[in-house]
Amino acid sequence: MGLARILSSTLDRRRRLEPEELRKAVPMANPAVKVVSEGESGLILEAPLQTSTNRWIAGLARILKQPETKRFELEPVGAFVWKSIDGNTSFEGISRRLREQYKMSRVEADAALGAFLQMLAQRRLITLWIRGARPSRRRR
Amino acid sequence: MSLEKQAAFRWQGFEVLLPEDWAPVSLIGDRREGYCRFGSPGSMGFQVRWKATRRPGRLKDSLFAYFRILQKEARRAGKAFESELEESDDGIAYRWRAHAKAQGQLFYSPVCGRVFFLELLGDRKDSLALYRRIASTFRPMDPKGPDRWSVLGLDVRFPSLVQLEKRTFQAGRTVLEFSAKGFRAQASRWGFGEQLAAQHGLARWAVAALSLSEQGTHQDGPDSLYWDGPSRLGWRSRALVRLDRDKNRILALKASYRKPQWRPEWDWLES
Repeated sequence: MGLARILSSTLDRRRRLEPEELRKAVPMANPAVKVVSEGESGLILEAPLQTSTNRWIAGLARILKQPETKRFELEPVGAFVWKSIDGNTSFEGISRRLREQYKMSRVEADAALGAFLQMLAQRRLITLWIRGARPSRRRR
Repeated sequence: MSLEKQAAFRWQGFEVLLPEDWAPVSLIGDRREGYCRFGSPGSMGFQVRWKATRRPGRLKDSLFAYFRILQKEARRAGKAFESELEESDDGIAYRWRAHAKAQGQLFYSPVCGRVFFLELLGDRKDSLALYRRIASTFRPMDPKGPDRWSVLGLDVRFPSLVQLEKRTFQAGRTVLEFSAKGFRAQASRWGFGEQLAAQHGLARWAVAALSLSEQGTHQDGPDSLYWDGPSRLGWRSRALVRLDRDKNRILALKASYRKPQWRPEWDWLES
């Protein structure tokens, strides 16, 4: 184990998900995110931008007319996944729907869904709820 | 493991049928020597190791060397190592049990002149009943015959042996690049085929995704097209693109070739 990895595992307390845990995890939509338009070509999401707690920076942002929201356009497959994120359906359930709707294999659906949910999570549009998860150190 | 839930894996001159939801975890080496491992959604895995040799020698020595490594691992994990083996004309069948457990066999294939090591591996709680089923589908391919490659929904064949140059496995896209003397090819498989074709049109999508020129692109039926590129310094190029609606995928093969026997044909792209 290299020094960089030791440091990284000491400082980064986030846990890497086991495939079994990921399958049971339930994606939850950020309640602040709204669907502003929906059509055959997909849907558009709108999420509020984080505002600064510093009143000077917040004032400057107002003067510069910084937008308060940001929009995300999802194409039809992404829209299908977004609609499946209802707070009850697990990763496995959404993957099954994808396989049925788009005639995909399990491997392909899991990979595509995993990548898409990661992208949504990075943009803070969703979070993954892992039932019974206990915090522990990142595994090698 | 029912038949309809199996998927063929053809790689470096051998083929095996595995459960459809098992995915490649590690693919190393070339036709002479290499290793591949498939992982199940749970804790099981199937691995194949191969090595070309003129004289197979004593297979038992290779197996015992492997057992010695496992014994060390078991000691470190604080578990006892147990093994049993059975020799026959076909090779050696074995089982071991320690920190994990496995069933496998080691044999020499005179068809391709290689020693193969097959093993189904699992946790101590896993059943290895699947082993016989998987191992019975394993078949080394004749190097004199056509060369076929199948992985993650991509299935392509060539008239004679090719060398794998590069592989790319991404969500929704599988790409294999091959070469032989006077031949270079890129075979790809794209998921969401119907959606891609509906959104962009198959021809426009193919021109953009495969870097083809619009000139030379011809529709060859409602869901397939071919492209013949200009000839340069004795090299010709051709691409075949097919939308497979049954499996919602697009299969494509783009090749450059010198000799006419390497000119891609539709039956090179299996459906």
